[in-house]
Amino acid sequence: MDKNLGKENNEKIYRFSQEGKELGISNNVLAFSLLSAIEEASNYFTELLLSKCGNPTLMRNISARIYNERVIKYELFLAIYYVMQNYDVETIIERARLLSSKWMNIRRGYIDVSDEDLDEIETYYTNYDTMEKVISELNKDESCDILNTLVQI
Amino acid sequence: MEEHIRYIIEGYTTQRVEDIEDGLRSHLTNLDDNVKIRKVGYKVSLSFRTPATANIMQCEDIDELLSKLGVMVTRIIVSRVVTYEYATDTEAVSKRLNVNLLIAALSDGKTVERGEGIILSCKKRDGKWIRI
Repeated sequence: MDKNLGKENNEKIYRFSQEGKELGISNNVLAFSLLSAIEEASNYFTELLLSKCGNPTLMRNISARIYNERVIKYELFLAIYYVMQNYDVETIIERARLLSSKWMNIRRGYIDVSDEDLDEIETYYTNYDTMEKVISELNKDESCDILNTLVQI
Repeated sequence: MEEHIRYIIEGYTTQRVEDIEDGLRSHLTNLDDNVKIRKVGYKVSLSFRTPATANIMQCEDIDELLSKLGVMVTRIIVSRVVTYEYATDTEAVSKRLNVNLLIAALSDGKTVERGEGIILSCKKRDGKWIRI
């Protein structure tokens, strides 16, 4: 996958959700599109790491596994976010699990999305730029280390 | 720091998770407690590790073993991993992403398991195992 496509996709989907809000589209649909934007953002971060690492075996295995697993995309996005907040490791694992499973239920349409839920998803998404920046600063070894661990989730 | 070989296997099964785990343990005597089997519908993923000194099983061998347990395997990834206790980073306040913390969070729990590289990966195409 072209990494710029992931970036372009998530930004477009986010804009769509913002316009949808003004049109009075229901929370469930808005949450669905915001979560899609987060998935695309997570794909984009993975693509960034893959291009830095440059290991073709990792690339084939990551694209075969991770891109099909929505829950891993959420967990990766949330883990990066919480690491940036400098939480301790247990808190990060617990929060990332809880929230990613809630998002899975929202994405499957099992939960009626409240205004608070919607704000929460949006708050996470709006940190996208800062997350992109810290990932861009990683070196080759760091990127490979993260991917080697990610492929085992 | 301890070294292991981790196997990640995806496939399909109609068997119960408990039966697969029991079968796996009776065939492979060198497994530790860290065996994870997740089943959603008929889709199953297995993850277990053996000591770093054990022979690395080839895709065909893994397939043969798991077919005895009623799992139709579609994909296999074998990686070298190291485990260690996560120690809080003292310079965590820097603006760079704390990669050690991220790796600890992505692996399972207080004991960190960091992937050191894929040794072998393959998938089944037209009934034959191909290396990817």
